[in-house]
Amino acid sequence: MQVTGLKARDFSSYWIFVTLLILILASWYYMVFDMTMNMEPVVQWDSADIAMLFLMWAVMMAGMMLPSVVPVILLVDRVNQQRQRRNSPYTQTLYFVLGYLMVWTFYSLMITFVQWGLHHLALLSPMMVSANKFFSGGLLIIAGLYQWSPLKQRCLQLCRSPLSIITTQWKEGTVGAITMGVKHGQYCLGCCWFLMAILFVTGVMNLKWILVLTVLVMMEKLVPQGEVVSKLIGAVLMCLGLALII
Amino acid sequence: MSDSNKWALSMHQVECCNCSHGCGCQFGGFPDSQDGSCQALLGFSIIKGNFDTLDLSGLKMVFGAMWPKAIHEGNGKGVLFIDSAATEEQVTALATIMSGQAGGMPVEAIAGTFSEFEGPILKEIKMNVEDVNHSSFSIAGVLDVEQTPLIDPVTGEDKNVHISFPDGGFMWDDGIIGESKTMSISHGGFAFQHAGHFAAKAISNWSN
Repeated sequence: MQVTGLKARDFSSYWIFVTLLILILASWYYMVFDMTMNMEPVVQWDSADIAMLFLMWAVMMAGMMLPSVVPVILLVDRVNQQRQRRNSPYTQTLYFVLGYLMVWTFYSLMITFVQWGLHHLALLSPMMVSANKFFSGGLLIIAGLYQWSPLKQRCLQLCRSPLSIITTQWKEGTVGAITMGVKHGQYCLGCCWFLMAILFVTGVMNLKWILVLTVLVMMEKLVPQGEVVSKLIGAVLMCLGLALII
Repeated sequence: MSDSNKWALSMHQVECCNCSHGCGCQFGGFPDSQDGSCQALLGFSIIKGNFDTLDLSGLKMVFGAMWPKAIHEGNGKGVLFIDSAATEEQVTALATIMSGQAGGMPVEAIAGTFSEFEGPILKEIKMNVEDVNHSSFSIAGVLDVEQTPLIDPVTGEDKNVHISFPDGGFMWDDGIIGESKTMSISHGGFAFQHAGHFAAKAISNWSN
């Protein structure tokens, strides 16, 4: 007896990929064409300005982090596609994406208030660039050190190896999918939260550096030997930090 | 068809791949083979298992897999051999489980990384899992795997090496690590041989 021809995957449903592409392009469109912030001194900000700043961080994080998480999302989607094909209960993969983005949106909220505080301390100029070379240098050195820390490396490992999270922590249903997204998001957050703070040194809305950081994050996560890449980035950051201070 | 097909398998797993010692997939998700691909042969001897009320205990199967890059990057080819001692019903049950069609981890996730899946192919499977450090399995004329312990280069004695995942691993939680003395398959286009590479013997517990 032969049960041959069990094609595990067909290529009919690309919609999740298209959805992700639209999300990423929309984020970048906003960053390139639509991003306008109140560049007046912080004492003149009102709550709407803070809300806009939060929105900007949230969109920026989505645009920067989603590209490197596409393979994981597609992996989750393959499981859901298989279930869909054999008429088993499945959950839309977008809930996983939602959970993932929730983590970065929470981070965006936190860093918005951090930035607000930094403006008040006059460590950031109204142009949202560091106004103090010791602040800049210190931030770069800490960001560089963090790249080498066990926590960062552990998170990176879990981020780079998504299959084991899927096989050991798969959860059913909408809440389950969101929970898995949050879980994977936490690893990415543990990986990249301090790296993003470098934007305070380069200028929060500096598109060139937003692109550079996006590419660096993708390299850490997707290239073989990403741990080495992450440590190299750390070393370069520490050197830059020292150079700024001395 | 819904997911009423409840299954559980507790198995001896004899695993060999083309990675060097350690197998990068256990830690960083990327193979440390020379060309970055993953080519693996897994032998399973079911200690206790069922598919709904159907008993699967005592059955044997071999799973061959090739991925051009890391497993999670997909595009893999899989082939499933089942020991000819299995009844037709049992063969169908095992094929349903191993192709991910009844759900359950890790097979469901692994199935998602395949673009081709062949089988089940019925063959006589010989398997030895009694001598843990020298586990082996073979199908005459198709494949042959034999594991051997790692040797301490100083004392020349067998080394007792484990990889363990206290919070649960990808396929198993605790593996005894050795190396492959023999590892080859020749089944049409599905052919490779990688002696002297990563080998593990473990008990795996899977279910849906």
